[in-house]
Amino acid sequence: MIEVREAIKHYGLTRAADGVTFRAQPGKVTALLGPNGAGKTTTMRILLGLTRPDSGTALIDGRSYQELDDPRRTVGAALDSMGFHPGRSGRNHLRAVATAANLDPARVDEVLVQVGLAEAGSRRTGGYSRGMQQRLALATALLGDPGVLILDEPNIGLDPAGIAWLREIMRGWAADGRTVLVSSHVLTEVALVADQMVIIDKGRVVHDSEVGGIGATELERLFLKLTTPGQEVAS
Amino acid sequence: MKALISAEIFKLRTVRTGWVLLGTVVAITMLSVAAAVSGLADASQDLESAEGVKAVLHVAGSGALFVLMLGITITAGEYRHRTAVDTFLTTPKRSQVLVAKLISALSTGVVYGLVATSVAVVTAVIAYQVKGLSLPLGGAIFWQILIGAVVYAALFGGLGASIGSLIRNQMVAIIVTIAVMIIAEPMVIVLAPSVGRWFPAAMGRALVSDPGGNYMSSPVAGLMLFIYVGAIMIIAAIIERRRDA
Repeated sequence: MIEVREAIKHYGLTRAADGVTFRAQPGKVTALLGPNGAGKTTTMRILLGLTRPDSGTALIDGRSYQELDDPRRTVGAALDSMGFHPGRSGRNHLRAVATAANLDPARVDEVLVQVGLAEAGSRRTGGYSRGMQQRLALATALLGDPGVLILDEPNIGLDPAGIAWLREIMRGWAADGRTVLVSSHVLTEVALVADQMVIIDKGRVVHDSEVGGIGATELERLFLKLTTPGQEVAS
Repeated sequence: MKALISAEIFKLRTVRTGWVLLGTVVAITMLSVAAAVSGLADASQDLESAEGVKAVLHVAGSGALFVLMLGITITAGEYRHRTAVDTFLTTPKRSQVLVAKLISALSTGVVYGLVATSVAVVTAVIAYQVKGLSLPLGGAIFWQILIGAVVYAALFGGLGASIGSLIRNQMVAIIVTIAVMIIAEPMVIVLAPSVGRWFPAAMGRALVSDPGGNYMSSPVAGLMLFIYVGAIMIIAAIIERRRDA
């Protein structure tokens, strides 16, 4: 389970997170929504120990990321700020992670197959398309077969088949009892895949509820009402 | 820690940079040794004396600057290619990552140093034969220079890794290093030799018993360079605890 409590983070005078509080439960896909700069990525980075909050806590299975005994087997993450050495093959990138994290080397080929990069695995990542890089980031997240997945805008760069594929695997992970936290701007996708939605605006949680069969149009209306008052879609 | 070091060395092996820099070190060492033998023989220096051997073999350390560049790519390269996030997700205790990178850089430097000294000796043997001379293999000065060259390369690898940890922008780290070692240091050595000998490259030259200047003794230079590497890395580790990845 993911639990963020009163997380505050300033960058200079900007409050990137202003008391963010929410939970993401096992067996569910929780969508973190918000306009650009709302604090979604900051919240995820705080959860992953990449950014130190000024105050508040962000726990994964009751512990901060730094306290996890085996981070790669506990949490898988794919963030937009991740990159790959352009001269290293996708397979070797995964092997390096598997070596550092003491994971079974056989997992490398398993995850490459799982994300559809089995044939491209031996190619250098400098030649990968945005979608292939996104798949490799997902493969890296899955390497340790973790119970918690944190994905920042995983749809970016994926083609329609890729988006449908990602939707299915996210549903599959949740069905396996894993905790899935995903940020997205694509509200139609959120309506299709998420069980719970947390909307952040200006660093604060402004809405936290079950998705409960809400349609994409209705979700868009709610999102705009909460995040850009006065610019709601006409009914 | 063993897994982290293995992963760092695996990362180095699986990109071209390290191999290109190794090839550069080999080429520079061969050319430097051949040029030293040719130049000194033409100047009628006794190349078979201890002084002659020193004058030729100290250039076995010529490629150390490239080992330093490799060291910088081991640490700052993680930020250039945005792989640092993945590295810190695997190992959230960042000081462990820095220690693993330092050990990898030092050991890679040893490998580069061994290759460079082997190339230097083989080139020298051939160059001596071309001049109708024989390189005296063995002897105190012979081993002192070769061991010094390996230590020089190892510590420069470590120095690069520590500089790259402190200055995470790879290009800035390389420019600062070049500015200090190629521009500032030679000027200080000329203007104030007693200060210049405390610069890293002067210590490196002391390690290979460079006959051309007022340098420290090899063991003191090695120790001081090691202290520099450790001190910069400790400062980088303290700063890293507060930084965002």
